[in-house]
Amino acid sequence: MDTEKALALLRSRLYDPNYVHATFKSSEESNYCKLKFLIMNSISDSCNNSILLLGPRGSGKVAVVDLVLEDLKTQHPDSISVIRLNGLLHSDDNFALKASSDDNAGFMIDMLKECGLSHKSIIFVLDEFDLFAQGKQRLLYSLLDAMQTVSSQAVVIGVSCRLDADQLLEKRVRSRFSHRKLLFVPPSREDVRRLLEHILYLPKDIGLLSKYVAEFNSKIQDILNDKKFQEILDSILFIDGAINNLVQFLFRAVSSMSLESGLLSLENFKGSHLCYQRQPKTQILEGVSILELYILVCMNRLECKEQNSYNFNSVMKEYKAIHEAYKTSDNYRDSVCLRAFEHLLERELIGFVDNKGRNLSIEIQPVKLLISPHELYLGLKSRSSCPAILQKLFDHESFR
Amino acid sequence: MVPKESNPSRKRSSPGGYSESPCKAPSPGKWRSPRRCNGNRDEVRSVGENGNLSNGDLIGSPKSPRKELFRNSNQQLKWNPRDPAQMQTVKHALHVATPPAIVVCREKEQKNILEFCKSCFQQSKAGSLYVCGCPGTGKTLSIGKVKEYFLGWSKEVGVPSPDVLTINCTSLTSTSEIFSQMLVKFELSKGKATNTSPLQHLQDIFSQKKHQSGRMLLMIADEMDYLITRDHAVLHDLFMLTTLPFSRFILIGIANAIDLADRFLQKLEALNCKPVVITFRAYSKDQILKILQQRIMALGYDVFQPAALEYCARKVAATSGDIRKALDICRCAIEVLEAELKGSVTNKETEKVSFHHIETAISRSFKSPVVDIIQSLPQHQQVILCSFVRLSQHCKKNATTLAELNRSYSEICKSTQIRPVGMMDFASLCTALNDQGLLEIAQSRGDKSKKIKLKVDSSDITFALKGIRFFQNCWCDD
Repeated sequence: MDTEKALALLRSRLYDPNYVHATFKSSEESNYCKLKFLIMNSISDSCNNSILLLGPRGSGKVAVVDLVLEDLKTQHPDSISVIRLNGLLHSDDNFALKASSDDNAGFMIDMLKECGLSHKSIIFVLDEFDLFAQGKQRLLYSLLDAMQTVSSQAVVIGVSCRLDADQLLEKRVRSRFSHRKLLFVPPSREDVRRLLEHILYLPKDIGLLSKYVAEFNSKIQDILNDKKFQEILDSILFIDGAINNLVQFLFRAVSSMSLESGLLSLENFKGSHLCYQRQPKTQILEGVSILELYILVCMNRLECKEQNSYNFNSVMKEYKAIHEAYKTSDNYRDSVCLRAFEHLLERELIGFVDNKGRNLSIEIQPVKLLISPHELYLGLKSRSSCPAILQKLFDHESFR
Repeated sequence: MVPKESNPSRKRSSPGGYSESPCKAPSPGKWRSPRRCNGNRDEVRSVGENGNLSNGDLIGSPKSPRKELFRNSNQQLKWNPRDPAQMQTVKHALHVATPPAIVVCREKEQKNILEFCKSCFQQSKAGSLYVCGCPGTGKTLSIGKVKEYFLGWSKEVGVPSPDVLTINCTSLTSTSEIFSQMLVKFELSKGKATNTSPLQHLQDIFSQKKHQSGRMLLMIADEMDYLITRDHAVLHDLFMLTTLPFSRFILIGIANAIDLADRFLQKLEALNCKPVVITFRAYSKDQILKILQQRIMALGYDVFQPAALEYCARKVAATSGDIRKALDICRCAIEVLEAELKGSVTNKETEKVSFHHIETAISRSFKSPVVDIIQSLPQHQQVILCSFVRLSQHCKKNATTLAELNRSYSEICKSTQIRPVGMMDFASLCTALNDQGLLEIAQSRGDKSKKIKLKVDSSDITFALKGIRFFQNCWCDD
């Protein structure tokens, strides 16, 4: 079926970081081109170089490195070897035995000499670079020092999400490390548009009906031009602009594509966006009883009155005070209220302040609210059966 | 690709180079080309900038008669940046890994060290020397040269040349391993009882006359501060070996800290044998300029405009005086030129590296990317940074908790009429900022009471965000 094939194609594209980041391969100013230029020059000039790739998590640093290395391997199959190290695994302090760390350092230096003699270049990829900069930085020092001799040909690529990674280096290591940095910033609006088109447009030559392909692509174009889609995209990018985040959003949308129509619609994207906006505590409030809501509102009032610590008994006093003032019909006995209180504790909407008073009874242990006033407010608003008095009590505290 | 020739061949190519006093600065006329000349590299000639040469220094090239012809016509080669071979040569010449034949600007220090070694040698007594200086000031390079001169001198004078051990202390698995390495290298382990430690064995040897073999021992310990342990024992013992009555052991230690000797070797001061301290000062602007020019002169053509080189030297001297940085900036400037020429189609053949290229290279290396990064953050993360600045201005303290920050954040969102994110999203945004090194979130048990500190200057944040219309209202209130 064509629609199934299309869906499978889109999903496989989204899951392949190489495909996603290949969008920017052709533009001159992209990080891909800069990195490739640097490595190719180092190999052809047979000199040593080092570079740091910095950027928030999910911005595609390792993906770009992989793309560049793949291209280089196809162009120069015999003159490159790649060694990958990860700061979580290989940094000095994480070794159980000191001996193995020195073996590793010794191994790397020997590899450098070997490859230098045989005119091969080694490319070291150091992931989580900032973790290598902990402790005595021996590995980094030995590696960079070995690169200062003419007999080695190596390129060191450090990848880190800490933007001040090079400030963490000791001064002698920093002196040997060149200052080159490539920043991975979140893509601009035009780049996002290019990315979406690259991923979502179906190609014409993979055996699908051309009419279907044309219809699919024109629908995508309509969606991309729709103002509501722009708003959804903005609200996602304003929180996290990394490409990874965008790809996850697209994946959810694409997976919810209806197979009968075979076309993506704005509803798919809206549904995916809703998943981002889940507020679990507000959702829990929808299943809470009215008495429990009363208790929560009372606790909120006590907190607004700046009572630093209060317990069940003080909440009850407040509860009774409300009933006297407003003469409501929801006046329950203490024992019933205690049951409601325990429910709230189980659901973790309220909690004890500390664990010290475990052997005291529930009524006198200090408690606190575990949801924010805003979430409580949203919960009250969303309950159609919520008594108006509660809303009024809430607004009265000028929660704004 | 430049063919790799090992060091000895370079030395071979200038046989007379080391017989004169090695620490005299060579005049341009006596310039020896450090280039690894190859048969097909006709273009590379060792012409000084003023064009005069002394005889016999075009060595290693099989086509010397032809070169003589060129030399006499005094034609200087043109620098063609589009020629990849020339580009490669220039980059090689400016690479940190390419050692120069003669180390300029360190003549005085080299002379001092050499004199010290010679006097110890002639008096047959031990001595210790401590060399200190910032990274990139030529310590290891100079001492390597001194070692060569010393060996050469000992051959000339006709005494048995000393045993030399060069060790980089970062390669030791444990600090006391240095003694066993000494034993192995100096072949002193004969007669060693199996249960004495290497240090004890060394101490025995040096305190008794009968174990002497008559040879001097020279040891160069690089990055000596790796030997510092909590009780300073290893460093002490190492230097104390030079104070023993029959030791013929010269120790040269290299490190960055100027006061290492004072701080860690007080006992030696009491025994009146504190090591001689030689400081390698950071390079001044003139020195950096001289070193750069020396490297480029060897190429035979003008790659840089003089103003550009001087600007580079000035900038590097003002910040760190680290020659590696200067070389790096020059290489980067060449790459900027290369990238520029790739795009353009002008026919200008001789395009030198100008002031503008050096300026681009310097801004890339010295400019901190903080402002760019803040400007490229997603909007909510910028609001969080902004709210931190506001909070610290109102409350005059640097640290805050997640709950207070959230409150400040919601206020700003309200005033700019965007919807604030929920608490969970807010916590994850703060974690993302923590990962990037802009905030620091201390580990603490309670979720809302974690202490948060700002790691970036608040003036950087203000500067970065002031161009954005969205944030202009925030600053008006302050």
